[in-house]
Amino acid sequence: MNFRRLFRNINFAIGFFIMLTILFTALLSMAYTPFDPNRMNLSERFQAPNGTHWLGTDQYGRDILSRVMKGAVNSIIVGLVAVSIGIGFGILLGSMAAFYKKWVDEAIMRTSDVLYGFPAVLSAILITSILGPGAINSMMAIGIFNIPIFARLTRATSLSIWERDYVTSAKAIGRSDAGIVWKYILPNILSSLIVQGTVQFAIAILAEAGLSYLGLGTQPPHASWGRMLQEAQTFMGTSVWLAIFPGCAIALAVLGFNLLGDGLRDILDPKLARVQQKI
Amino acid sequence: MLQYLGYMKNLVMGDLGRSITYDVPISSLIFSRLQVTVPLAVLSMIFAILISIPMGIYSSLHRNRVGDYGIMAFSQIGLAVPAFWAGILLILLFAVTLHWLPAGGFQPWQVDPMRTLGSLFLPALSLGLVRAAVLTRMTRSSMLEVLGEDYIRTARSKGLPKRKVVYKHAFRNAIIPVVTIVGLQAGDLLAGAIIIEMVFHLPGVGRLVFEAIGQRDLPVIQGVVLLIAMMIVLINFVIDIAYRYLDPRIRYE
Repeated sequence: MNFRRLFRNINFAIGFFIMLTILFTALLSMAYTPFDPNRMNLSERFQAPNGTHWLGTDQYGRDILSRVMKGAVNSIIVGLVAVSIGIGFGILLGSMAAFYKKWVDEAIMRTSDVLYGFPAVLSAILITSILGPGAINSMMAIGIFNIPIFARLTRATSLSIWERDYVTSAKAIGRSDAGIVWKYILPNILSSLIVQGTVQFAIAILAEAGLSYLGLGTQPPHASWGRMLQEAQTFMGTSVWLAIFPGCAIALAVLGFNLLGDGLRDILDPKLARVQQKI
Repeated sequence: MLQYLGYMKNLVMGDLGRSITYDVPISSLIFSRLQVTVPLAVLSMIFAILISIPMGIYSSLHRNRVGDYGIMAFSQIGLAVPAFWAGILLILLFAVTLHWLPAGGFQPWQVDPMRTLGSLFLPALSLGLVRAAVLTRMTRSSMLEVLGEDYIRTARSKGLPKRKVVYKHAFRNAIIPVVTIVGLQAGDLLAGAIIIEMVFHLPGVGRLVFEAIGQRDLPVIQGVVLLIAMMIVLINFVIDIAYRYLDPRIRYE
């Protein structure tokens, strides 16, 4: 696929640029931030955006820009882990349902219906409360609720591919079932998985922000956009900037991944794009 | 097993047990909290519908023009903004800066219904704005599909006024998928209310379940989860009945 075609799609181009910016910020913050994001400096607390602290400082005098940059790492990691859990288990379960059919299919799909039908945020709150608050547990909670989405997608898209002639030929020459899934099924459903993965990435960022806002995600003093908003709420009457920049970062990241998803869907899967436009 | 049967028997009689934390019947605890959450959910859905349907219709009638692009940009941003941040921004604008509405808290209905509505206005608007983004896209695409149908062209060629064609012929047929999404959003709305109730310090069901999780008050969690499941089923049932009235061609055997 040539890059010119990719970037002719405006959604893809904008989404890709935003995603690249977020990714670059996250990578940069691992090597460099203007100030130590966790270092308190009470003599500089509640400073409005200025030449030294571009986005101001919080109630402990911590630099907001450095914390927003560090928050990007957190969001990218949560998105990656949550989507990886969803894709990994989803592909496995979806492929099993499509291959074995009968009771295996019924068992996997009905369990996935139960998980899918229940509000994801409530379930994530329940899981993080059981496992205990923290970044890793919140990633797992969000990831678990990605599993039914990818399982259903894998099953739906791979069912017809199992009936294709080239799969029958592969079976006839003695290829193993796992080999067929790896060599013939996965490459054919990859585009749908990538599109869904980008959308779920955005949803994972939103969910993590919500969990952190409730105090169930990333724990202090580590920077997380949701947690920063929660801390900002007490002081926003006097220090507006505390509530503005972390929220902008969340919205920008989610917007970027949503646009990227929309663009990729139009490019990789025009049929799906038409269906999605209808629903 | 006997314990479970006992629980089910009590459940049928409306008895969900007693809260470990509050030591009161769970059904009365949930009922008192529903007086916050149900109006909040209904009001936010009303906001979402009032914002999204006119915008979706306008956008479909002015496809690929400035207004359409503006509305689509609003809907993309609405999808990206977390409801709790929208809530914080609304507090900043309407409570902190303009002092028009309270920043949080809840006035009981019995004291002053207008103040109660006032305390639910901002939380409902923040939930509604995010829902409106999804519904606007849905209304637009559904209207675009219907506007391309032959019977719309026939209605126009018969000389019917545009307003009548749009609202009587097109919108009536385009509303079914929108109603489906409204129903699907209802479940999300109840879950989304958890964070919004925390932002605005509202004593609703969301806050109750969040506190119950923290306090390991399992009977309350069980009761609220059951209630949410029942409400989702009930809302879908109402939506199914609504289809029949919106489109008389739909028949249930």
